[in-house]
Amino acid sequence: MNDDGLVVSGLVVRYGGLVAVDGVNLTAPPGRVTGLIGPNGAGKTTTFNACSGLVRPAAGRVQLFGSDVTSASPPARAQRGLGRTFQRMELFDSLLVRENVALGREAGLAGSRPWHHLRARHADRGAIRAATDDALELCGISHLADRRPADLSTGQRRLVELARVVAGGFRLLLLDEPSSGLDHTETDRFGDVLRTLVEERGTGLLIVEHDMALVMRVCHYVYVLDFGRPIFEGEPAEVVASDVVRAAYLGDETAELMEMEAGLV
Amino acid sequence: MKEYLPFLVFGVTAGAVYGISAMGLVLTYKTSGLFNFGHGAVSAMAAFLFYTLHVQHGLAWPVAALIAVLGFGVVVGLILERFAAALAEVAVTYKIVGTIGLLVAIRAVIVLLYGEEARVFTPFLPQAKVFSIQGVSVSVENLITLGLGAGAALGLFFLFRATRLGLAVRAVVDDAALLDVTGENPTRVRRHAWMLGTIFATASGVLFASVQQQVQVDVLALLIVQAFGAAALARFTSLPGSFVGGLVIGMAQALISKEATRMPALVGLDLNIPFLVLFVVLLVIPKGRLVDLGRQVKARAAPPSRLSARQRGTVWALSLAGAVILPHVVGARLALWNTALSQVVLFLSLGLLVRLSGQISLCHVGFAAAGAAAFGHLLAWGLPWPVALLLAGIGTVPVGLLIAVPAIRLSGLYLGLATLGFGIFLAQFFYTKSYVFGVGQQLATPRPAGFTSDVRYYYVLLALALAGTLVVVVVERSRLGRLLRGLADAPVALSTLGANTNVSLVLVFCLSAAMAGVSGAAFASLFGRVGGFSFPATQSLTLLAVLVVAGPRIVPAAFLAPVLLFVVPGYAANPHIADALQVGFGLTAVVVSAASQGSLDAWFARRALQARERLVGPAARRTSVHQPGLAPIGGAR
Repeated sequence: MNDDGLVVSGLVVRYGGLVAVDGVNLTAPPGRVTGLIGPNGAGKTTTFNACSGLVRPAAGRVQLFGSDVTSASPPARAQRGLGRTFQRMELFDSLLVRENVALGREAGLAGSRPWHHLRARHADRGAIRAATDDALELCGISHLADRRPADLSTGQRRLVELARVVAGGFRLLLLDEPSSGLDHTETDRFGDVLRTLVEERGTGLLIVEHDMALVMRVCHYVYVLDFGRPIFEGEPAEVVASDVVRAAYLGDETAELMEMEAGLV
Repeated sequence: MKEYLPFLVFGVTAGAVYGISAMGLVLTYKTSGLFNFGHGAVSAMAAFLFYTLHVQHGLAWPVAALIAVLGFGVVVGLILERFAAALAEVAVTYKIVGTIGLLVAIRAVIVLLYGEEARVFTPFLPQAKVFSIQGVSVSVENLITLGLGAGAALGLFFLFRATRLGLAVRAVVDDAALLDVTGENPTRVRRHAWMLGTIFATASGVLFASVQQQVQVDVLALLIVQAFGAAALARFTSLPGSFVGGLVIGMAQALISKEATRMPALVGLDLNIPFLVLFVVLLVIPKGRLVDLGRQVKARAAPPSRLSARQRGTVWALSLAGAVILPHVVGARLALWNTALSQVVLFLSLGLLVRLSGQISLCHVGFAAAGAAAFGHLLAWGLPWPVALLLAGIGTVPVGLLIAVPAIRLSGLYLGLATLGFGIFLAQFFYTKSYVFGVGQQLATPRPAGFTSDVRYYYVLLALALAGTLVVVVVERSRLGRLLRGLADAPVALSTLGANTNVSLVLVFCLSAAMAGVSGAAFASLFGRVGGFSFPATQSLTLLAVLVVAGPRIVPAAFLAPVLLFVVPGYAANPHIADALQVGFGLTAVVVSAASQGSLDAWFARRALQARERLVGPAARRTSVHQPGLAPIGGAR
């Protein structure tokens, strides 16, 4: 095992004739927040899908903590410590919030062994309950534990999905537009949760995000994509200052605002 | 070569009919995203209408054909367009159940009117010889049938390439909303497609009756599966391809029936080519090539029970007490209740797949049949009754595994089709063999010693039903239950959390097959002897419709469904009541499916709101119509 976390090199993904991702390289180390930004259709979610094994890349490699997982299945990658959330939340609507979160842990314990799919081992039960309570607490949704996700607001559902991967104990998380649909207070709370995960638990985060203020606040390093190609990478302040990024994505006014905020921070 | 020619001429003619049917099916599927399992039932209805007009009332055939094919086709097409619109915004399982409801209802209507036995249908098209190839004569009928099919295939091809309507039809498949913006009305386009597709269905029905020289409800309703095979060869998308697929299937059938005269092992295989093709094609086509058309909607989760734990306990205790005293109350009708009780485990096993795991099985009766056959052979080896019952269940597991393979690759519609093909293949090919149900379809399956009376065997069945219930309750509360619910709600998320969802799938299919096998064995034991005729493949469709009608909760539905299916019609004095009830099941399954996303609740809520507005004024609207609970269809969760 090494400490590189997630390393993507030379990634190419094609959908028929369309090249959705073309030569992306990125590294998301543990204990750091790495951002992936770019306009709509830039290939951010496709990159995520290639990382978690939902699409097969045409070329390139995906490495996870030092081992090559390019041809591994999604559950196999999860077993190696990679978790993710979805832009359009994928919750288990017929289960309670508590069960949703617990399944984050249980799915990993079940793995590929038939016997472990049937029932929980006695020894695991306490650990599952502890992980579930802890994740609910951290995300501030303990009071929602006995509700059903379908009855919750978008912001609360995002927190349920986050709690589910927190309970899973993944060492590296891919978060796909975690703040979309959240109001200001919810976004702030989200930022706090992310900070706790990274600073206290050493989790590595790779986030796709449109809320530039959140990106500036939490990311240590940012990659910028446009039309599937990497166009820039660097620390948040460098990204904001970059002419390339400005032209392709941020626009002049936003970039100035960002610079001001960066200056203030 | 020469000895094959008569078979080929017949094969091409039959194949043209399959092709016409398949084109209608694919056309409507492409434009509305609704794959109509009732397509063949519509064909059957047209054939019977033609039979009534032409054979019974002596109307000239061109007039009868005009009414039964065109007139009837247009009217039913218009109705079906509305039907498809009602099912457009529901989850794929309910789309399948809705069209199966249509099939069940139409089939029962035909049985009510004409009975189940075949009727002679003299070919109406001229049989005169036109020419002969190497001594094999080709009749006018052969040429007309082939010409109609080929003409329709070419016509559709040009319609799609060259006309405005064709362009609109292609657009409505891609993006109905966008088409709406261009000023073309998607509903109008769909109405045309459904009228055309239904005319294809009616035409194929009348022609098929003529080729077969008989009208029989199940032969005709299963014309759909021949069409499924043809459509599968065209990947459910290409219209001319579907016609060619029909020809291929027709010819393959004819050639195999020729070979079967020399090789007895092939007997019966010719009839099964379409089902086999359907099953195999679905197994080998690359997954990405099979795209579910239509809007993909997630099924709404069943709301939690309104009863408190204590109330539920009371209901259970009362039901159990009722079940215990039942044999002493119902008297001579106990046989009906025994039949129903033997099916509880079967419905439980189907509920595990459909309700808990979001899967679909249209071959469940096949599992039961396999269990019954294994049970009979195990008893014949001298094993004690309970051991044989348990082993019969275990013996059915490999059959479940066989179905789990397509379940891993396929979901929704295509899984339903694969299981249907498999179920019919089992019924038509294997049940008829003497090594399955013995010579003369008389496999001995006696009741356990000491429990041979109806009353005593009732308690055996009750114990089995309760044991099955216990299994389901334990599974629902276990990790497997949570994984299966997760699989039904968000399979992709579950796999990215680290669970290999294929393992859960295989487990639930094996468990479900085993339970169905046990149920089949207990059912067989009820009668002492059993044959393949006790397990008609179409019964799998009825089972699913009744299960959906019986409600969303697995255990109560499993007890209610067999009572609806066996006991209620048994109490009716009039034998037609059973068929009328089937019509009711079918139509109820349609309504339940259409309302599965809460559209009926929303409709009632709107009506209630309107009524309130009339009384207290329009102020009410702003405050309550936007409540999430009242959101109409389209809410994906």
